[in-house]
Amino acid sequence: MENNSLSRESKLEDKEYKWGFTTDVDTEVVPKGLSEEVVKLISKKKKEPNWLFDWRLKAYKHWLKQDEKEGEPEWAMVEYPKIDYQDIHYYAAPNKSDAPKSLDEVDPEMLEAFEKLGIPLEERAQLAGVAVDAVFDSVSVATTYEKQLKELGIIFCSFSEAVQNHPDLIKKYLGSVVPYSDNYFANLNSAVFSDGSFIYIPEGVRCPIELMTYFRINTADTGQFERTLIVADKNSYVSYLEGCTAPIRKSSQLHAAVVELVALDGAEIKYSTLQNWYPGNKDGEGGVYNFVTKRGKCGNKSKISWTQVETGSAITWKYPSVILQGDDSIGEFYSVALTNNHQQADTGTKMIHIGKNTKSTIVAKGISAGKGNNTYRGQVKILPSAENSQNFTQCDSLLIGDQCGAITLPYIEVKNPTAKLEHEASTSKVSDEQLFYLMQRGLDEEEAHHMIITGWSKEVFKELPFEFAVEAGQLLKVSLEGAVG
Amino acid sequence: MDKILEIKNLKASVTETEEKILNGLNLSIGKGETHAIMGPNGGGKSTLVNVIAGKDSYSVDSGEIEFFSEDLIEMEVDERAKKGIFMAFQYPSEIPGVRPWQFIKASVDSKRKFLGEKELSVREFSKIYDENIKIVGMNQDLMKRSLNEGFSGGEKKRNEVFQMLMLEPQLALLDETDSGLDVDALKSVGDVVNRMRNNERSFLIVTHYQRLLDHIKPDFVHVLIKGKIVESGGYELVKKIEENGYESFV
Amino acid sequence: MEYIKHYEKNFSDLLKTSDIDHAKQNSFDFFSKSGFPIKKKGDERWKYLDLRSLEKTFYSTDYDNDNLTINFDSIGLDKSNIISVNNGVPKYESLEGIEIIPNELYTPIFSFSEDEFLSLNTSLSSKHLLLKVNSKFNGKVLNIVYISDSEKEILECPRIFIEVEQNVELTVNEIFISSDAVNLKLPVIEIILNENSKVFHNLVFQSSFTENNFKFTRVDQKEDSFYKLTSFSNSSLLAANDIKVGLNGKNSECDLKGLYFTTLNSQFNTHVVVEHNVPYTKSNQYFKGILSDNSRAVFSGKIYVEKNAQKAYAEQKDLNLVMSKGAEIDTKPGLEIYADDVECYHGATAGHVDESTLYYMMTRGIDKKSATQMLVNGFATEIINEITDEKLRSFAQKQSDDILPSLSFDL
Repeated sequence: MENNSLSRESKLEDKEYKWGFTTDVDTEVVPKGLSEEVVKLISKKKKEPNWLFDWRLKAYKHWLKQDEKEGEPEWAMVEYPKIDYQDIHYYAAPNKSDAPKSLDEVDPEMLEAFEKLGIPLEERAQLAGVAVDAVFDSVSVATTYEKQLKELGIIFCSFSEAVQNHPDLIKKYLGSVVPYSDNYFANLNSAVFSDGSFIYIPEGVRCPIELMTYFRINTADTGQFERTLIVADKNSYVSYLEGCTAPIRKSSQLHAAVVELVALDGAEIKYSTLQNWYPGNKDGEGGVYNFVTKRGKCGNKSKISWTQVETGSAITWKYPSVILQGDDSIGEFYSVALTNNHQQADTGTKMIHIGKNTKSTIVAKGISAGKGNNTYRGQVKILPSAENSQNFTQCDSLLIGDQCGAITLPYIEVKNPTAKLEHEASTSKVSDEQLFYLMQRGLDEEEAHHMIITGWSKEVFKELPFEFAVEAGQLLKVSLEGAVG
Repeated sequence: MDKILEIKNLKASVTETEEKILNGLNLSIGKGETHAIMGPNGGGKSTLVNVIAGKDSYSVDSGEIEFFSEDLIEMEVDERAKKGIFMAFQYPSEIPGVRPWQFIKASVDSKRKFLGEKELSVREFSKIYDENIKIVGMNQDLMKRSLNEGFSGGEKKRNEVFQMLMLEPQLALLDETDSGLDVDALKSVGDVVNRMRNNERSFLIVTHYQRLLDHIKPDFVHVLIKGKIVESGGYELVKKIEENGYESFV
Repeated sequence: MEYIKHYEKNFSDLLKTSDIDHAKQNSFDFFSKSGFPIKKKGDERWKYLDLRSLEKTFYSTDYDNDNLTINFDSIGLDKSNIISVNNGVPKYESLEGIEIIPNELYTPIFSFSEDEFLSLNTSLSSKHLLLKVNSKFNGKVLNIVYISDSEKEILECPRIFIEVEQNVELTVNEIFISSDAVNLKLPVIEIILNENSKVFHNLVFQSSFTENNFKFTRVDQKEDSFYKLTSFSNSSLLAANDIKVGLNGKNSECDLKGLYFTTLNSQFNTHVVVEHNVPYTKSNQYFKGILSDNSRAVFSGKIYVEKNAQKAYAEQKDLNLVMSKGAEIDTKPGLEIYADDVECYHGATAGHVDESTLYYMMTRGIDKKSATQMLVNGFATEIINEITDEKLRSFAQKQSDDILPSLSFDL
C-alpha cells in the first residue's frame, strides 16, 4: 500500500474537468475595464432606477478609495497573481435582450449546455419538483414553476426583474445585511453586479419546493458578479439550492458574488451550495477565483442554515455568516471543503451573537489533497447583550498525501459570562486501521478511501436535500480521483 | 487433499520497530479443514492472521505463503480478500457515516465483479442480507447505525461473523472472535462456523481459550509459542492445554 | 512617535557605556521602525490587547540600582541555587555544575525580528547571563527570582540563556515577585535541551497592578529531550506569557500548561507556538483561564507541523471560565499542518461554571457562592498540581486560595 508516485502522477494526468466545455452564444459584451462609465452603462442596460445607480456609484467610489488605500485583503492563506481589474469584462449578456417567458423561448444551445452540465432542465425541474432560475452568464434565462409559486405569493425571479417589478422590496433590503462598503470584493460586486436571484416568501408561507439556481461563468475573461437576495417574511420557510460549474478557460476568472439573507421573526432559510467551478489544471493554471460574501441576518426566533460542499475553484475565499440579532435565533454552518492539485481554500464562517438565547452550530470538514492548502477560518463572537447564548464548533481536517496543508484558525470572542462555547478540532490522515478493514473486505484503496471520506462527511451531507447529497458524494469522488494510490 | 494455504518457514516482524514476531512458522491447511491456533499472549497468533490478510504494519522477512498455490506475499489486501480470504477482526474499526448495509453491499459487489459474477440487485442482496442477520442474531436497529459505531464488543464480533456469512470466503481467519463474548453469543458464533463448514471451505481459528473450540471441534489444533508452532494434533490437544497450560510446551 | 525618540536616547546612552554591537543596532532599528505592536495591520498576535498605555509612559533602563533584597520567606523557596534578577540585571554567583558561556559563543535561538518586544529586549539588555548546565547539576533546582524596586519608571530587559547538556535533568523555577514599581519588564529566557535531557520549568507571576510584564520563553529541543512548563499567573496590569518551543529532534516531547487569573482591568496574553520540525515528536498545550471584573484574557495557540515531520502527535486545549459581565476572553487555538501522517487535536471552551453541577451541590446544602468557589478552585487546582516544584506549587496554591474569595462572580 506504499504510495506509488509514478502511478499517482499518471492518474492525475488522466483526470479531466468533467464539465469543461464552452458554448458559443452570441454575447453582448461591454469592453474590458472598470470606470464610472462602465457602472453607468451596466445600470442603464438594466434600465435601473436612479437610486440604484446612485448606490452602485457610491459603491464604486468606495471601492476606488479602498483599492488605493489597502488593495485586496491579504489576511487569507491564499496566494495568487495580482488581479488586473482593468482587464476584465464587467458585463456580458446572452444575445436575446428580452428574458424568455418559458422554456420554449430559451436558446436551444443554452439548453444543451445545461444538458452537458447534467442539468436536464425540463426533466429535472419537473421530476424533482424544483423551480430553476438558471443564470447563464449574467442574465437569467429560464424560470419554471413561477406560476405555481405566484399563487402562494412567493417571488422567485432574477434580480434584474425584481428591480423592475418589486423595487420597494429591493430598495428596502439591498445592502441591509452586506452593506456596499463591507469589504473589497463586496464593494466591487455592489458597483458592477450583473444579475442573480431574488426570492421573497410572504408571511406565514412555507415554500413547498426546493428553489434552485445554477450559475455558470461562460464568456472568456468575464468576471461574474451575481447578487442574490432572499427575504423570508415572518414565520415563513424556504430552502434554496445553488449549484455552480464553469467551463475551462485558460486565464483565471474572477467571481465575486454577494448573497444576502433576511430571515424576519420566526422565519427559516436553508441555503445549500454545491460549488465545483473549474479548479484549474493539474499544474495550477487557470481556474476560478471565488471571492464570495454571504451573510444572513436573523430576527427573533428565526433560523438561518448554510450548507456548502466546495470542491471546485482555484481559490475559494468564502465565509457564509449569520448575524444573530433577534432573540432566540439560530445560525448553522455545515461545510465540506476539498482541495486537490493546486487548489487553495480559505473558508469558514462568522457567527455574531447579539440577541439573547441565540444558538449557533458549526461543523466544518476540510479535505486536503495534492499540493494545495485548505484553511478553516471561523469567528464566533458573543456580544455583551447575548445572554445565555451557545455555540458548538467542530472542525476536522483530513490530509491525503504529504504535499498539502491543513490550517485551522478559529477566533472565539466572548464578552458575556452566561455564554457557553465549545470548540473541537482534529487533523489527521485516513486511518490505516479503517483502510485495512475495508480493503480486507475486498474494496480497493481508492474505493476504501472514498467510502471513509464520504462517511466522514456525512454530518454535512445529511443537511443537504437528498438528491444533492448523492451528487455531493459523486463530486467528492470525481474531485479526489488520482489523489490516492 | 487439496491445499488451500501453505506456509513455509515464515519469518515476520513489526514494520515500524522491526521486532521479530514469527520465527520460521510452518502451516498447511487443506480444503474443508478447520484449524485452531492456540497459544499464550504475544506468541504471534494475531500477527499470523494479519500477515495472511496482508496488513502492512507487519513485514514478511522470509518464507512463503501460498494460497491455492499462488504467492500471497506481494498481493494487495483487497485482492486477497476478493480471492476468498476473510478475516474476522479482533478489534473491528468504527467507520463514521458508513452504514453496514452500504459497506457489505460494496464488499459483495466488489468480490462478485472480481469473480466475473453478475452484481446482485438490491432486492436479491437485501433478501440474503436479512436472512443472514436472522441467522447471526444481529440486532436490526444496530445495523441502522454507522459501521461498528456504538456497538458493544460482542456486537462487533457478531457483525464480523455476519460479514463472513455474507462474503462466503474460501478461507476464514477468526482472530480471537471469542474474546468478550457471553455464552449465548459464543454459541451463535460456533453455530455459524459449523453451518458454514463444508468440503470446500477452510477455517483458521485463533484463540486463547477452549470454550469456542468446544462448539466447533476443530480438525487440527496447533500450539503457537514464540513465533513457532511447537505442537500440532487433533482436538485432544485442547484438553491437554486445558489441563496443563502452555508451560508444558515451552 | 515620541516614545520611540525616548528609547532612542536610552539606546544611545547605553551605547556610551558598552561596545557597539551590530545585532543591537539592527535590532533597535527594527524596533524604532515598527514601535510597539499596537493594532498593527496584518499582525494578529497582539490584536486583542490594548497596548496604547505603553505609548504614554516612558520607561528607562536602570542598571545602577541592582542591589535589592528578596524576602525568601514569603515564597518559601530554598536560598540555595538562586539567581536574582534585580531591576532586570541578573546576579549570578557561581554554582557547581553550571558554567558560564562566553559572550562571543552566544547565538540566540530566536530572531529579534519575530516580535517588537523581543527586539527591544535585544537592543537594551545589558548583561546576558549565559549558562551551561552539566551533569554535576543533575537533579537539582535552579531558582530565578525577579525583583524590582525603583522610584523611576524602569525598563527591564533581562536575558538568560540556559543550555542543558546531554542526559541532564533539572528544574528551573522562575518567579516574579510582586512590586509597586512602575515598570515595563521584557524578560527573555532561552533554553536548549540537548539529547536526552529533561527540564521541568515552573513559572509564577505574582500579581502586581503597576507592572507590565511581557515574558518570553524560547525553547530548542534535541533528540529524546523532554520539556515541561507549568505557568501560573495572578493578575498584572498588562502581561504576556509568550512561549515558543521547537521540537527539533526525534522523539522530543513538550508538555505546556498554564493557568491565568485575570481581575480588575488587567489584560493577560498567552501566546504559544509549538513547532514540530522533525518526525516522531509529541506536544501538549493545556491552558486554563479564570476571568473576572473588567479583565481581558487572550489565548492564541498554534500547533505547527512542518512538511515531512510525520508521526507528530499534538494536542492543544484552552478552557476558560468567564465570571463577570465586563470580562472578555478571546481565544484562538490554531493548527497549521503540512504533514499528513499526524494526529492533532485542539479544543477551546468558554463559559461559566456548570449549572447542573452547581445545582447538585446546592441540593447538598452548599450556598451558591461557596459552591461556585469550590468549582473554580477545582478548575484551577488541576493546573497548579502540575507545578513540579513542591514549594512553588504550595506558593501558587496559596496565591490561588487568596484570590478566590476576592473574585467577583456574577451568579
